Amino acid sequence: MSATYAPVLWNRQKRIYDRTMLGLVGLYLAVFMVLQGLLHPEITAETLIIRATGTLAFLMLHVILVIGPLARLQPKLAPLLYNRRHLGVTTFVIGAVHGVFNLLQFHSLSNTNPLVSLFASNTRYFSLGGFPFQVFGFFALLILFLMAATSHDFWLKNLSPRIWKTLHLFVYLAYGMLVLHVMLGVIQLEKSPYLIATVGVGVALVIGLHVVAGLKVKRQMFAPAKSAAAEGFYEVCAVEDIAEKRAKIVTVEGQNIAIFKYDGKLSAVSNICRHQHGPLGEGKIIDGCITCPWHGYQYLPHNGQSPPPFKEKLETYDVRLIDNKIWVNPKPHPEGTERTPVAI
Amino acid sequence: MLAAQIFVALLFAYATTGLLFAAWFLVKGVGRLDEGMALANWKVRILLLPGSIAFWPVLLKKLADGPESNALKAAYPSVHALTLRRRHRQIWIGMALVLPVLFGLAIAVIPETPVGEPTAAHPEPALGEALKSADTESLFFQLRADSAGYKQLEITVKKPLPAPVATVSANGQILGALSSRGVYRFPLAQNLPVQIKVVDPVHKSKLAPPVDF
Repeated sequence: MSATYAPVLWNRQKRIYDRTMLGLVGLYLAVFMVLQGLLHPEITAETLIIRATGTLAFLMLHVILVIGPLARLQPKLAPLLYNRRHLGVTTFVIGAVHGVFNLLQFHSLSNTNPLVSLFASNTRYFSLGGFPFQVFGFFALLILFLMAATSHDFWLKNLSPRIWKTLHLFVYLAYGMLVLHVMLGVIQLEKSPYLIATVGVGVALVIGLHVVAGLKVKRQMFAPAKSAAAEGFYEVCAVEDIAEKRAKIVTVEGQNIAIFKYDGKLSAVSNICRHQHGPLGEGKIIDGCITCPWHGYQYLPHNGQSPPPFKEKLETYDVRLIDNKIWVNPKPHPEGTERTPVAI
Repeated sequence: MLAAQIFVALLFAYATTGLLFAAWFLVKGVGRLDEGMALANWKVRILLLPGSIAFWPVLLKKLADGPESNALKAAYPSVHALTLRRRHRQIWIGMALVLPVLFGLAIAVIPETPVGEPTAAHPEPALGEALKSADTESLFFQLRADSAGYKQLEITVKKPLPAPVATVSANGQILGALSSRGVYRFPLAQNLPVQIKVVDPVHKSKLAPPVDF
């Protein structure tokens, strides 16, 4: 984060990411509309827009949700995380078009407020098959709106990271509601086995990848045994256990620490990026800087400071090397404190 | 209905208050909360508008607490990150248990006959020849008859009707209903002349000028 705010901190990668994303969005809409026009020539423009935007937003939410676990399971896919917020905002906009056209098509032709009509036109709230499925869509869209509205870095800082991160957990609730929105809506009306299978594969993929990645992260969170502590230091691993320009992540006394090996040296910093709290230990050293795998924020390994003009700083930790074993002291030094790297 | 009206009214009241707050906050208040906004241009401020409307109570409290308190809360202790990771894992294990069950139940309650499938042949076959016709903005009427003297009213809905329900009547007697675009045919037992009306029965409004055959 710089000293002031800009609407978007554009760079070449972000432009490529956005152009690719918008190109694929345009391609999907064009192909979907042509196919629908051919298969259902009687379809109205409003219905076409509702179907195209609804399916696209649901598909994009799947993509957003699988990017995180895929990047954890296969680090080569980490660049997909970059600029994911633009993907999220675009998904909300497309979902909002779907929602507005639904309100216009199904709830605006009477003297009842369209939003009231959304909640009151079907009151079978105690029936599963007849449940007013549009209500699920409304609340899911509300969550996506709150996330899109707070996607700028200003909100991460000023809502406080804890509130911001908790708010973004609600995307999982939104996803669950959208699955029900589809299953109790179009699936009940169309009864298509292809649609059911497609949604089923999507749900299985999202849940499966998250559970597998979650368990992998749990295994990665290596926590040394307390008996290993000596003079406040904990034995972590052997030098060979860390690849060159990579890190070992450890959890000691509640501290999440990344120990980096680079250029014949060892340094330890907080594992949490100051930007969006990405896992620095899953990144690598590029151009002499620890580089976050999520958005490319960089820090110098020996003092945890971002290179000028940036101002982010990480806590640093003391490291020792005894008989080829790496030891770390979990007591953090204040953010940006220089610690002499340990020579290997 | 009342609960829905109250909910929507509260939502509008919250959003309206948020809009008024945001108008002041983005011009004056935001600089007090975050010095980084002092030099930010109007594009950034516009970008913060939806969030300011949505989170006005949080922002109001932070302004009341002062910028020092805000900076303190911006710190993100390591332990929170660990809790967050654990919470992610718990949520997805929970989703893995609940969502497939709901998915299966939703499949189980799919009706035998899908709601959108017509229960009877539609429309009725066209009868004889068209004797008379009348055209309006959204409807095209035809009076048809065969050699035996049976009469039929054919209506083509050209554009979606501005009502969820539309009924067709001949000399005050209801013949049937119209819905989406397409061709509709009704047997006509009345003697000529007949006056055809298409109305929205809920709001008692005419959906087309009366047609006389």
